[in-house]
Amino acid sequence: MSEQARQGSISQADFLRFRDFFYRKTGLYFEEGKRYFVDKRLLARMAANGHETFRSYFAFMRFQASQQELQQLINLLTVNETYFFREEYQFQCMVNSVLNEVLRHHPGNRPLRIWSMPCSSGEEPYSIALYLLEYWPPIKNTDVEIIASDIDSNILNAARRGLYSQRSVQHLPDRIRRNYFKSLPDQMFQLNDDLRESVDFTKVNLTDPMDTRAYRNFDLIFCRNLLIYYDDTSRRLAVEALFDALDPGGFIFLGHSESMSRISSLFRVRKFSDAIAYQKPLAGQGA
Amino acid sequence: MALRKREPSSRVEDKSERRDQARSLDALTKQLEQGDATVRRWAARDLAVYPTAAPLLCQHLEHETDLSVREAMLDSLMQLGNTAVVDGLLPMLRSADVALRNEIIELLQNMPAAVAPRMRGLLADQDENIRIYAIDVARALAHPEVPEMMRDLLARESHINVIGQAVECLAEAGTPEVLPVLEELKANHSTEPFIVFAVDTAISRITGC
Repeated sequence: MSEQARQGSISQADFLRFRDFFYRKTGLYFEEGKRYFVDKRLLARMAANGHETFRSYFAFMRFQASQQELQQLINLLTVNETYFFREEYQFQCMVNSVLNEVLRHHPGNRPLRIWSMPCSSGEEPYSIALYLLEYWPPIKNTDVEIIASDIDSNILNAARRGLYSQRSVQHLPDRIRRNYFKSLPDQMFQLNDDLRESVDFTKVNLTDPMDTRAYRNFDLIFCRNLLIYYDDTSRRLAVEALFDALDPGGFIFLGHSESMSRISSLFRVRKFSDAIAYQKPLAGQGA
Repeated sequence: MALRKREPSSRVEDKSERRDQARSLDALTKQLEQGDATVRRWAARDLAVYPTAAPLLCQHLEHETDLSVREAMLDSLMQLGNTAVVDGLLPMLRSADVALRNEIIELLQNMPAAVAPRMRGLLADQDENIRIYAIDVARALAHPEVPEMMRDLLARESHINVIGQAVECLAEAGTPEVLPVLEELKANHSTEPFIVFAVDTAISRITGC
């Protein structure tokens, strides 16, 4: 381990230099209170790359053409945990505002279509389904299709099985857990068949235009905590794919630390009482 | 009415897409001139696979008014990322259109290998605004010669705003090799509080003290 890494210190000037750089690259800003969290990860990456000082590590990371080391840091500095009803305010916004607005200009000759991308092990698309059934009365008169996609075929198989730990379901109200899940040994829970069959799982790479060209006519997309992991080129490609996948007037929810305004001017920012969403302009509307 | 059940075959499994227009370079070139923004947007997107399309895309980018078409053009240019793209974009840094200039700067920042050979010329441009835009490009450029470029610029630069921008760039991208230039700069501009402060910040960031 390097000397600075062994000593376990990043100076205040080092921290400020890194913070400004990381903010410019990702939009993520670390308050002073996050010093320990940031320093620990920086020191780990310095040690992993054999850099004696922050200065040398920073120069390596800052000028690396592939930007792979920056991506490693982004992965380490953004905790990504998935569970049912995560960032629930966005589901509330979906049922309280977004879907009602979508219905007003929806053609009516096809179901409402919602895309969860990336869906990981399924907690997000199943949360959408649960929220619609429990908290959106128009579901009685409206057909809704939920498509859930990920680049990882193994995680998609797990999502189809619908088997979850206590930790995954801990934020669900007891009533919902009782009604939709079967309790299994070892504190595991399996989602009932009915709900599992209501989500269509598919494998897709969001940055591959050949892969995404069949994804069209969506009214709402959840694309949370994915764009931040892409480099600038891939991020722009992904946003183009999302734009093409939405019908005019459709909405996107991003992760809480992500902002479309840093990536693209194609979408309108919509501030609802529960959350912020990004809208593809209706015909004749500017972004 | 309710949640739709999954069908035996996925609803999005068919990856074939019906295209109404030909996708050859010639056809796409003509489509870029069409009145329908959707046609132009798809032409711009599909031109990303033609490396020789860079001058064409650059030429249309300057006059395109539809935001979605412009974004598609910028994305295709970024994917192409070759020297022809850089050469097509650089003249647009002189545009009076601020939004276009900012788009060009952002695009150039993401093409370090292609843009690096043109940077010294830009940083020596007679127009101080172009030198400032070049520093904006350098500020986010993942290229190891950036500190050296700034050092060489500072050694000859006299415009105070350009100096300030270059020092700010070094606060993030500087290496110990630029410290003597910064010290000299501070001595030569000791009556300019803004420069003294910027240099002190850059030195502190570079040395970590």
